[in-house]
Amino acid sequence: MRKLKRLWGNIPRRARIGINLLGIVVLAFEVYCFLGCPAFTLEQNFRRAEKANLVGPSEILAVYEPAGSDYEHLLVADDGSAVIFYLHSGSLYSSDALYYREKTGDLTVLAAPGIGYFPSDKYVLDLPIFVFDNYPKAVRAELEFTLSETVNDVYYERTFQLESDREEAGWFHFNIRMESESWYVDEWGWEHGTRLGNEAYLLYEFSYMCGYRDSFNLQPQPVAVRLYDEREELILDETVQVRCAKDMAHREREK
Amino acid sequence: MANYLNYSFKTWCLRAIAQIRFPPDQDAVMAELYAHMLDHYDALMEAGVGREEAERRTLEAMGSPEEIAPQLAAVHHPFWGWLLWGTRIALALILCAAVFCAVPYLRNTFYSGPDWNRYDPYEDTYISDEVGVTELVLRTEPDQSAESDGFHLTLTRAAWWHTDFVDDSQEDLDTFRFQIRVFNPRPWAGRPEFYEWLWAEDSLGNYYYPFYLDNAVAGDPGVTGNCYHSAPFTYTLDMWLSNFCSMDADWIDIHYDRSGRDIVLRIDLTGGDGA
Repeated sequence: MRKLKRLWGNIPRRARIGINLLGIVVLAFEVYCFLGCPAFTLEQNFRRAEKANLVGPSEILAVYEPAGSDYEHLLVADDGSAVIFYLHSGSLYSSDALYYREKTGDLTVLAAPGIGYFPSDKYVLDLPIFVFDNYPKAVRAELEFTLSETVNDVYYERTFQLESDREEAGWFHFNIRMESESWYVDEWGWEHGTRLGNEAYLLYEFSYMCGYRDSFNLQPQPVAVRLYDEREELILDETVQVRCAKDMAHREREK
Repeated sequence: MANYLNYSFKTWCLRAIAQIRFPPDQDAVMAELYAHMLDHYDALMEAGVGREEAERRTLEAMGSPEEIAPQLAAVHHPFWGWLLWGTRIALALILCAAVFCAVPYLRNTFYSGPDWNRYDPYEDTYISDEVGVTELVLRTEPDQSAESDGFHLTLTRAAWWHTDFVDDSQEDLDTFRFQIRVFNPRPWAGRPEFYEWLWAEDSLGNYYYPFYLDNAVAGDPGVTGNCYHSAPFTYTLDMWLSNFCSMDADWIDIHYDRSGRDIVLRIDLTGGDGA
């Protein structure tokens, strides 16, 4: 040990600094590996998730930064036959989620996973909805759908009418924001939404359809889509089904 | 005399190191200079020179400490000293971090639970004799491989057990398990997530739904399982076929076919060990 110490002492100071720096680099790489080699960019994260899910490679269409949510980014990508929603948490301690949804012919309506959050004492839900289409002449789109649910023998129903101008070729983007200010806590500590809260829940459930596992008890949701050209003439009026797990299982079985 | 020498030589050394601004270097240089002076002094004494003369000659040979001091200060610049100390501290910290990170990783890799819970479902059944009589129908090592996106998949084991329950009101149970080892040499590849979309079909046309859709088709045959980290760069998919219905089939194919992939791993039900 003393010999080793003397040998180390005989090494010039700058060389010792170099050896220490080399050790730091090697150990830093080891720490990086043990931490699961976190990616440095959102795209790198997404590409890795694609490979781990054996999907893609796809074209990234858009990236959204939902305010106040647990997720930092919502990334939308398209691999030609399917759409990928990627929720990126941006944390080492919570996992990301990747949803792979095959398109349904020339017109596909998909709600991205709902992003809900609680700023102060209200509940806010941002729900991005996308329509992927093969109608290049269409410059404006309208959506109409009715969500309903019976909770504790009380029937809730709401019809949503949305419209959007085309920003990018191949798809339209809609966004619903719903705020509920009237949550209350009962004597047992359970939180309940009032009418507004339940409507937000309807939307949340609608967005569940993106993740088949979560939507196993839901039925396919009809959505009316109307596309207009530059002269404001209607070029398509069609009702499409937003797929849910049962629908998907049936399709898988038929393959 | 020793004390006297100690005093004069050390005084010389202290004046020589006075301009060195890195304290740990001051001690080291002082020790080195002092040892060098004593060596010189001893050599003169051995040559028959008197004590006082040897001391004087030694100090004379060393020169003026004020002249040497700036040169020593230049050689022992504090920047390099502090940098060496900084790298030492950084190395120690990152070593601690590496050990801290390695422990759970190694624990997950080499430790899969307490012994009382560690049975091998491919060698033994979890159903006790008191509950039912379980017989091994098939045990095989298919050794089927496939590759996609840098992941190398190997179907390593499969086992099929038939249980006849003591309680006649319970229907017989067929348990079919298979294990897929997934290897990827890239440390950043991470955990394979595609296993939830594996589906299966047998030679009779029976279809097993992917795990991801199991809630929607509860009660129907399905591919179920979980994924755990079993070795460096390797994950093990421990899977089973729920509601097994391929008793008369010759083979079962495990498929993955999303996004243009076409992975097929076949389990031959006609060979292997049986009870």
